Amino acid sequence: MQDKILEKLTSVVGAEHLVENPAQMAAFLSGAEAPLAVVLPSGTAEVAAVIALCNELGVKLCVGGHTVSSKGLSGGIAMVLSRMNRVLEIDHENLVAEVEAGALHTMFQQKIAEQGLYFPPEPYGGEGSSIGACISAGDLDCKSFLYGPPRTYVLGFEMVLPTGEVLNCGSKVIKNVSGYDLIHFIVGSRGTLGVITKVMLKLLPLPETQRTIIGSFVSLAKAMQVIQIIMERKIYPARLNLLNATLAGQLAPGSGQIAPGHQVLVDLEGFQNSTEHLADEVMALFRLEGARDALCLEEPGAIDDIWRQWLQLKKAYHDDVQDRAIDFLVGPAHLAEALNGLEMLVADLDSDSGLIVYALNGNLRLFPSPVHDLPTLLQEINRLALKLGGNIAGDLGYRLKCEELRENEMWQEMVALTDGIRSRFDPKGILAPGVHQ
Amino acid sequence: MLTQAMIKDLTAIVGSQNIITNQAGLAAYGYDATLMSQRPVGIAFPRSTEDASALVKYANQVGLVMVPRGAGTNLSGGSLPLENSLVVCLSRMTRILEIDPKNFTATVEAGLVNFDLQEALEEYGYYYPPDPASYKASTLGGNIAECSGGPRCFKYGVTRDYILGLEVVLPSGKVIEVGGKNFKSEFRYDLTRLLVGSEGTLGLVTKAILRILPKPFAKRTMLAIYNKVEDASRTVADIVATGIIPTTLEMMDNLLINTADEHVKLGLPRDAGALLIIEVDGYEVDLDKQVRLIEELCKKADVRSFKVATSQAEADQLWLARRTVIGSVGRRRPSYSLQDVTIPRSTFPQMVDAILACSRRYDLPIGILAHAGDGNFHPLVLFDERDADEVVRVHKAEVDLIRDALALGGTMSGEHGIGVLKKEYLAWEFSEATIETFRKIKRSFDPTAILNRGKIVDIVAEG
Repeated sequence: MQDKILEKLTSVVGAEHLVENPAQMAAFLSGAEAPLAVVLPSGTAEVAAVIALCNELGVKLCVGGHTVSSKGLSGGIAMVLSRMNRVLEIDHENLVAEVEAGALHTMFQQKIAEQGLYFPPEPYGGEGSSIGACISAGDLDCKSFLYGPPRTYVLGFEMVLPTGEVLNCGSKVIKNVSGYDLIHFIVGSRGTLGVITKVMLKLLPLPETQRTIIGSFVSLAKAMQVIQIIMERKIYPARLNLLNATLAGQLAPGSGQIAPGHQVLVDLEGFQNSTEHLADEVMALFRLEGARDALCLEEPGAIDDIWRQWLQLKKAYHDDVQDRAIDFLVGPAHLAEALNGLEMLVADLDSDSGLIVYALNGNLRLFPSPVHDLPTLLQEINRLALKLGGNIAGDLGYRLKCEELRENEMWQEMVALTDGIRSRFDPKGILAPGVHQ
Repeated sequence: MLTQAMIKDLTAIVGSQNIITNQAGLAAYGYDATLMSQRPVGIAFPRSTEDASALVKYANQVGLVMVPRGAGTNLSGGSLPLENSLVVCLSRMTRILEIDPKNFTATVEAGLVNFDLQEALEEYGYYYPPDPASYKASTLGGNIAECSGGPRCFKYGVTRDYILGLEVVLPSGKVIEVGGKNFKSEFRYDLTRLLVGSEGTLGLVTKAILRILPKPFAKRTMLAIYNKVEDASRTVADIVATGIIPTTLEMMDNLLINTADEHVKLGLPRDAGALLIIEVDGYEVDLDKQVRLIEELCKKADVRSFKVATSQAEADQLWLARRTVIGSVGRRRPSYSLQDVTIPRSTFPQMVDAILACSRRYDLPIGILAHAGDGNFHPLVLFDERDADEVVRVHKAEVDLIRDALALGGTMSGEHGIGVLKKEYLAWEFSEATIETFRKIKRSFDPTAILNRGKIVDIVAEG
């Protein structure tokens, strides 16, 4: 059986694009389980052939841009899309680009920036993450308040269904309500409904100018206060983030240029006049509110450096502590209360545990130090978030919310409905076995 | 027909004030903004989610097909009753449950009229960006069902972009909440996005959590008048290329300039080929430069006159002309057919040509109204419903316009939906694999097709 699968896969992608040696496979995998092989298809036709084969034989398959999660993939196939990395078209008249799913997110952003165009979402897993991952995860990032989450930029896609057919949806039009909205529904489906091979993305003109301002604060409460004031003054930057001293000290953007402490990072993008005014205003607020140190960057190279470091930090935390991170949302107006609550629950918030706040999204990400018992902390943070009209993010949050509010019928209905959708797309249950488990 | 027993049961659920079964009432809820109509067997008005859930459970029990309805301004037949169906009209669930400006959300019942929400938000200095032309009448539930757009979409997006969460009565009568007050509140799949634009075929939306925004600090409204439509479309392309994303780029052609001016009396030049209403918003300090830039581009495209509104009243007059233009065509012919084709912006001039050719081919006046920035056209084909020959030609013209838009890489619907009107053309836009995927979606929610049966796609009822 195994030999037969490998033989057929080889005939599809060619021997040089099939990896079956465990040591070599490791470079493409995250997680402990061992798939039968890693395949690197060159295009949609090969992706479709591999999936049709897996569907026929009932073999599990999981896909990734450069690395694939091996969760639930013992004896299955890992598909890596790194060879499908072309930017197929950049259309200035329509502000649209068509990209293959394996294209590196930062490479794509750089390439269109050279032509004065902009794709705002941050890479899902920091540097090294693909466009396919961004769309497949559909995750909120710190720029989503101003620019919208990734789905905002999806106009269409090509996807291979779990049964091997190729599905095309959408086009270069920016308004489209024809049929059910598969175009946006598919964003965030995490590879469970099909393998996205190409995406049509809406672009924006590159902002005229950018300023990045970093303030360092002695206390978290002080840092949060200045964030509240910025929002109350109706200043909505592209990014308005808080890093606690633990993270700021480890890898923080601007380290070495600014006195240590909890850092507030403000990224302003827009037209020249207003951006300059706002930068002055934010600097003045930092000083007025007792920042230990503050820095305003104007030079594009220096600004890029900071945000590259930010993405490295994001990647480090994405890879290393993802499983222990607690991601929750309370709304921007409740951040100070959430922080107070969190300080009661996490005594080492000032020293060992890490904290990132995406202020405009009202989103906090806690990276608890090993001394904390995760299940207990989750329950406590869930209650804290619910009390403030918020919730823990994603699937886990929905489950905890239903448990806490005793919404058992709704919980069961949601499980049945989402299971039903998935099994109608993927009747043999071959795709992304580790997702939604 | 509803039996007396059914009427009694339905009355027990919603109360005698909230059910209509007399013939005049049935006629009044049997139409939408298309030319079609059909009588339902009854109309029930839930007053709460519990009512709606009980109604749906009861309909399942007796096998009654339901059609959800808001204000009935639908443009594709999505809210038309078909067969032997019960209209579930959400228009009496109109409460604003919460306005939370500091967290940028508002929670509302589905029957609330879009305009009433805008008025309530005004007090806080906030607004809800999607504002379809029907916003004084249409309900937010209806806007959600259709994923309505409006003139501000180019910069701010459509309904989909402003829905954080929904409370939904499923076709089984069970109630779920999808999404929430915050981003990232979806369970497994973004069901909110699937429900938005699903034209009432997947569930009855009873409540919605909307994203609201502070009103822009400043805006400028401009009026550019051209001798030729082509000149106006050149300006559209040039503005976008400079890096300015206007909130609005609305275009009207000569026919509509005339009917609008007869109605609103702005003193527009009646021989002009086209006009553009252009609006930019943002920080006061940035706007003068953008206006100067736009003026230069208009001049480059041989604009005949360019004017910046000097007061809010002046801007409001322009908007009044735009918002009432569709009704104003009644001065020419008693009926109109309104299309919704949308094309990639770069093919704007080709679509204009296609519409003009279509007008000649069928000897029918067609007014061109467009959300030009979005490439979303609303060609208004004018005719007289009583003239059978004309009606035949109108249908042919509609079909041609859809084919033309699809040939340009566009879609048959930018913001009005498929409903029943465009269902037969679905296969021109989508492959069988895609249409089968639509059916899978419908079956996942509504295997017996008890809710809004026959809209968007048909399924063979399961079980």
